[in-house]
Amino acid sequence: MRNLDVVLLSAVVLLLLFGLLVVYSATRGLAETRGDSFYYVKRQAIAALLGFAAMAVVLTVDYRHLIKLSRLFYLGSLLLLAAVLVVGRVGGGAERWLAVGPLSLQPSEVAKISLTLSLASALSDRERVEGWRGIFIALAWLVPMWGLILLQPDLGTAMTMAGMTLGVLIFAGAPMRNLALLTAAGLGAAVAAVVGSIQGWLPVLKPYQVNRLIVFFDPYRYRHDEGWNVIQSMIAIGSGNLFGKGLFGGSQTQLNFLPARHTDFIFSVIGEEFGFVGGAFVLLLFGVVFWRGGRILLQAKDSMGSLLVAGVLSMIFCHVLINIGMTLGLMPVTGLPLPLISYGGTSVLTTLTSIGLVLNVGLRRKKIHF
Amino acid sequence: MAEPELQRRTRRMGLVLLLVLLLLAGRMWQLQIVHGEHYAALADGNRMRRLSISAPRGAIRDREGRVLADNRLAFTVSIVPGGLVEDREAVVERLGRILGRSPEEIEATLQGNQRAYPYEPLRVARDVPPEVAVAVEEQRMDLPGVMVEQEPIRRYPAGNIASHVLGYLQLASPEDLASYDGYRTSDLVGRIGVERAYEGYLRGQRGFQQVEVNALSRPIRVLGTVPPAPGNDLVLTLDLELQRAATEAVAEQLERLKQEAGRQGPPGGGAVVVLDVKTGGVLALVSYPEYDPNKFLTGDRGAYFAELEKDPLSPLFNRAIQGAYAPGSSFKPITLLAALERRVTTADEVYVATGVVEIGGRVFRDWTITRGLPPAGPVNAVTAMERSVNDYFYVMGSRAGVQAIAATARALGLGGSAGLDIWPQDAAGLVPDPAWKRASQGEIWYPGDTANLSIGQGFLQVTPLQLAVMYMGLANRGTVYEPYLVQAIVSPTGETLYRREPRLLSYLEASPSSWNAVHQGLVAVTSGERGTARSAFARFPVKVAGKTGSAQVAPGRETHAWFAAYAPADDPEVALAVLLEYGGGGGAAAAPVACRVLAAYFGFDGNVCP
Repeated sequence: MRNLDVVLLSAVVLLLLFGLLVVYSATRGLAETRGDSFYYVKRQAIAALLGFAAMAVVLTVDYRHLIKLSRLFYLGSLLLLAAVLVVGRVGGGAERWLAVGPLSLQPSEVAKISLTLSLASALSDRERVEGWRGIFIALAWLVPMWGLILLQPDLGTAMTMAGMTLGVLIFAGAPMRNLALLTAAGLGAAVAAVVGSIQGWLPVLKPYQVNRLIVFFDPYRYRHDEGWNVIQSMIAIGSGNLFGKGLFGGSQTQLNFLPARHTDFIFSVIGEEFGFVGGAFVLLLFGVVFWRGGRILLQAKDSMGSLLVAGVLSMIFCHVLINIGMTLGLMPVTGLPLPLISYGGTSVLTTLTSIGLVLNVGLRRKKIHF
Repeated sequence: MAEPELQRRTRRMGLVLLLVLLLLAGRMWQLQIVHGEHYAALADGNRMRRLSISAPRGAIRDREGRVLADNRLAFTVSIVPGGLVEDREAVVERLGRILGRSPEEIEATLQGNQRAYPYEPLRVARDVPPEVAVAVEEQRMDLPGVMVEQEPIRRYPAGNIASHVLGYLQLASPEDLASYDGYRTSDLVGRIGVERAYEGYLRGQRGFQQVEVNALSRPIRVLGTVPPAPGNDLVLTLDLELQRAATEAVAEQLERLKQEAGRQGPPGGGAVVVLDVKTGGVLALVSYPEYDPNKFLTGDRGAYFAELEKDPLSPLFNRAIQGAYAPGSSFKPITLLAALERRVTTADEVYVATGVVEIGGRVFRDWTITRGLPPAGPVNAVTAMERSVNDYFYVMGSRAGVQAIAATARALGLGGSAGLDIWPQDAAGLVPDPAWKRASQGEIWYPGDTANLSIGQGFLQVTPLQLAVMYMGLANRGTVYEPYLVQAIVSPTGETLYRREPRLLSYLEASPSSWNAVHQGLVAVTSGERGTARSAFARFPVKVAGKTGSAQVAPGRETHAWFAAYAPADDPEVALAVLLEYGGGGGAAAAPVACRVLAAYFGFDGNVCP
């Protein structure tokens, strides 16, 4: 265990603890209707403990064994995603949750780990990534999952998966020129889908998704409907100034002006109550995660290990960028959680599990002799 | 991938990642530091709201300080339309169940107030019982946008008594909102009566409360308060106990008449006006039937309104000031004054009444003839008044001429609004003359018209208020004051803002001998051996000068019964007029009511009246 990256783990624990504090601030009013102002905090803490348990389990098994099982995980994820479409619970206009007893499971979160493992397995053979081959292989893994995700539909997860795939391909050594072309084509298709949906000749997006995108460009025009979230979030963050209004002192948060403040818009609570300093602190902690993760990526014993790390880091990065960008009015509104901070058991559990994968690669790194 | 290539790509991606994190931090800097003040102001705008606090309406008291109208605190359930963002239907339905009202009704209230600002609370149910207010508060989490306010609600402790003087309140109409300044859409305003005439003094200035609200516009904390300035109090000239006695006297008399055998049809409504002859102050003003202004403030005011509208006696109609009737013989003092002043007769001239007189080719008969009684025989001014001898007045009126009669009538306050400080304005009535007849009927004035006018019939129309005003003029020997209801306006701090001084309405110049003749005639009516109101005042301890009137209105129905008077006859304090629609003879029907009202004024018990 000498090789366990304590700095990375500490950053993760700090993010989680800060997250619990902010979740408490965001939910104590809401939770009182359930007779326990710590209701959400307790559930989140239990998810975190389960997450650390999963992390410990993951650490005991060599990641190469896990990657060997990747097809099984992949198939399992496809089944779960399909199950969501059949018996899923609707939330915010899309079916995303599966009820498991008193808990609800978000299969798209699980699917991201399976996809990471599968991509790491499929692209680890250097020969197979040359030219367009690696890109096609990666797309072959991505597309079935994407299809099920878009049927929900869950744009945020779809965007994250695309980002992850791109990240793994970059570190698998696919030619940068081809990847640039691929990205350009992907962006072109996205623009076509949006424009086509608005004008009606390619109705692939649901009306609420189109609205969210329009809102992104002109939130004040829709300030009573879809624009409300973004505007209230920007007011919350902006009014936090340098040091914030103090814990429990945010009027936007405590008086319920902020929607989904304990889940998607938790960063707005941080911005309001802890100011620029608090927001920068969170960005810094994520920076530490990426820095230590990058070290592990470079020190990995084999390319399977580095690709696994690349996938996990890309996933977290996409979440951070899309979620925080959304609260700052830089990204359209999608239902993506901020890893380790947002309230949501599945997200905490899977994020900790995937951090476990990174630590796993770090544990079994090659010996470096200076 | 070769090791150096992996390192290069890692470094490059690390750089990209750093740039993205810096971009996010930069955006945070932009929002929080560069535009921080702007967003802080927006956040405050979100959470702060100015709520208005209703000002308690000024109280209305009678001349003795007895309360006619004041306020009590009541619970009002309001909706902030801007707070009804989510689940509007469910909230409206849930609230409807608590209030016992249909969701459509509540929606109608909300829709009916489109002009409202989205964060201005709209009253949905006023004056709900405490248990309903508690139920709403208990379910507050499920009722976003709904709030319970405490606000003053108008109360009229005397109920029906004086309702026509006080009037009632109603929801402000769009016209009210346009014409008055600073009203909330669901405010109540005086619709009629003194409540309306003095709206500007009574309403006060509403206060404001700066409150912190949550996203559902529910107040969380009070940050500051500008207390409301209560409205000013009115002190009326009215005497509540006299008003009550007059109302009861009219009600009981009408009830008695209804039971009476051999009548031609039932009686209608009634009216009593009592004036202070030294000022013009109104001591009592009754229009019967009355209504209960409290019921206009309840939830089912619509049903109450419909019920009043359906009543054939039109309780909403203020007959004391709006009803215009032929005064009948109660007009005769004017005819006598006109004849004496034009010197076409003297008080002592003896006229032999045969009961039949021919004027302008038409034959006029006295009421004695139509009832099969012997005619009066020789009479003078005083005995003609005492016995209400029609042929005497036909002749004297014809001698005086229509112009003299009309001028005398106008100088005593008839034929024009008396300018009472109430809404709607009291009616002008009608004093006819040839010019009027030509203009309105396109006909010339016949001598017979003058004869009819002489005994208060024909085109002549007066309101009960005007008849009381006229008798005030008789009591004062020509000085007629403008009648009024509000004698003072007092601020909430007790400062008198306004005190009414008596105002002259008109003046009739006449010689003392003429006044004496009229005065003696009116006294004889109540105390002469053959006075038409003798039986009503036989036991009355104070000398009363009055006159009966039985105005013919419709064939086959009883006459309107009038009695007008002033008392004490030799040092007058009050003048009054009593009208009972279709009551029958003035002496039999109206004079006993007048007796009871005067007994109440002088503090006598009921035994002094029949």
